[in-house]
Amino acid sequence: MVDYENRSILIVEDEMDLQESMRVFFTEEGFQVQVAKNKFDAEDKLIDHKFDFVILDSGLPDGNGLDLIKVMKTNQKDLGILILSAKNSLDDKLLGLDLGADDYMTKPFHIAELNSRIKAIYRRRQGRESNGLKFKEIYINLDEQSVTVNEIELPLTQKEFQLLVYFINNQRRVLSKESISNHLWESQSDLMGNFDLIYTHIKNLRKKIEGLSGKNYIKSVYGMGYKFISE
Amino acid sequence: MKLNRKVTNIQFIITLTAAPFALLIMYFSFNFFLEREIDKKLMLDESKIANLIENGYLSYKISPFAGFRVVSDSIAISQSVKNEVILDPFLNKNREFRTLTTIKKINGIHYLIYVKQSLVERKHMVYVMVTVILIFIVFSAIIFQIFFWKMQNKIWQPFFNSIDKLKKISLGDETFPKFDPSDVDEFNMLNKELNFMTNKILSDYLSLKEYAENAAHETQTPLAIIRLEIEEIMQDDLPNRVRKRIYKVYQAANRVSLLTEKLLLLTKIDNLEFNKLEVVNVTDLMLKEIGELDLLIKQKNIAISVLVKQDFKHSMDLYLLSILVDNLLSNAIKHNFQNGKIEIVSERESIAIKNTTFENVEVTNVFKRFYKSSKTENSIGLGLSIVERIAEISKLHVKVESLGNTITFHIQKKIV
Repeated sequence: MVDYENRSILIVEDEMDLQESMRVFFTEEGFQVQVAKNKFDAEDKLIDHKFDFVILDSGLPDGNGLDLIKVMKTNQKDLGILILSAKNSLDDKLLGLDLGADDYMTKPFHIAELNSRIKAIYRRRQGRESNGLKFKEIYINLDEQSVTVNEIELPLTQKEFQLLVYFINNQRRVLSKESISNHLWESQSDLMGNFDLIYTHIKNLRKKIEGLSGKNYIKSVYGMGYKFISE
Repeated sequence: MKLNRKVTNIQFIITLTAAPFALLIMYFSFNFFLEREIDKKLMLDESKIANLIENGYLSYKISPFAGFRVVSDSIAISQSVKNEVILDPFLNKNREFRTLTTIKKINGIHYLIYVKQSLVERKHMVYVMVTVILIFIVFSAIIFQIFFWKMQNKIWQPFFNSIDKLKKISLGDETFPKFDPSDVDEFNMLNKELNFMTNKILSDYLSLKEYAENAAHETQTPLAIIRLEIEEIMQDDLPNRVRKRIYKVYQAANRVSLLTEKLLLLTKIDNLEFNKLEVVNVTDLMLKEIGELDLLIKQKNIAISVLVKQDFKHSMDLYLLSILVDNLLSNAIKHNFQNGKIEIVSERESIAIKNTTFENVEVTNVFKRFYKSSKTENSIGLGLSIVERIAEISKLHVKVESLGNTITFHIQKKIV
């Protein structure tokens, strides 16, 4: 099972407010967080410490953040790297992934989405035995894309499965409808026009889990979205 | 018509039009001068005859064409020259002659002296000369035209080189060709201006591109902070009144972010940043996208029918095509009503998407940026503008038809 406690993360971001928000968020998630505001600072930290993840802003004041990937990969092959870019450029994305980054996100992003992706990178790097998620009586096998509740198989559609993983990765957090839509449909989310589909998916997922566990973990948060919580 | 051809044609027409006038002028000039020469000769002959009379020469007929006779003293002394037709005793034929008749008093007696000169030779001479000159004019006009035409092509070559270079210019390349100096002043001036102009366009384009990217960067980063902070505030236990307000701010921030993203996409399309041309199967991609949007279609219980008469293939950037197809399909779903219909017909040169819609659409407005129908939520009104721009730069034509509660978008190859 995955344990993110005490995993170390380096946030390389020159925008101090954004850096601070991410630092607070990942600290609360249980990560050991260090921050760097430029390439020089980041290189310094990478020499001194061994990290599990790096969140790397591509546009740094002293150069392109992507240049750091080579250095990172030479020093530490198993380092998980997520590029955070203000540019929604396909070329930039392909270059980053070619250099060895694991994922690419564009600003502005939903922090829950960033959290989910960081955890996915970590699980991929940990291999098969870690590729499961547990929440009380719910167990998710990410390799086989299957879910059991009280060891009874819970048949879910692909979107419901994605939704459940997103909820468990971000449990106890209020997830906005926008953030959920973005997670399920990515760039196509703005083509949806409304959130009717999300209501349907949530209603179905809630009903299916309740059917096996007798509990409703997906709570509606008035006017905002949903929260996955045990109590 | 090419300028070369036009110039040579005009020259040719002018030459041919002027030639008859030139020939007429030449004909009359020759006639006039030859006549003067003949008259001079006649006068000379007449003087010689007068001289003979003065010296006692008594034979009255010197030749069939020259002679004298004594006339009454009462006839006034005079001289006249005229053309007349008389019998040529040598040829036994009537021929035109120039005759000089003079009444002269020599040694106290009045004589009539006449001298005749055949005009036939003169006419022959004029005809021969005019014909020779005519042949010369026509021949030199043809030679001149060919030579001029060949030379024109050579002279205009730097101009055509510049045009070829202009045609190959693509903003996406980010480097423009240099227009070389020419030994023709006019072309040199043109190339100098072209170099100046293209450099200016390139630098403006690069700064605009940089500006657009920087603007996006500068906007998206604060937006990321706003969104992140609001998402954190949303985690707190807030009174419903505050929660509602916070969510409104959050929605507005998302909207600004989406708007920036779409405007940036339009800028990138306008700047021709997506220019990897390949032959793509529009029909296939449409079918794939229908699959992706299946849930949305089911949600509204829309009946979708696809008729593939032939695959519609077109050479364009694949990324742009996927945006075009996405936008058209989502438009057909978004603006459709519950239990509505979508009909897709694919043909060799076009594809049409027809859907039922809950509102009367003004077809002239659908492509306007920020045009929104009143009944659609969460629309920023750029989707169809993006469709139109993509079509335009991908050599496609979008035709919209609205009939009752249906609207049809025809995407067809642009006829060049």
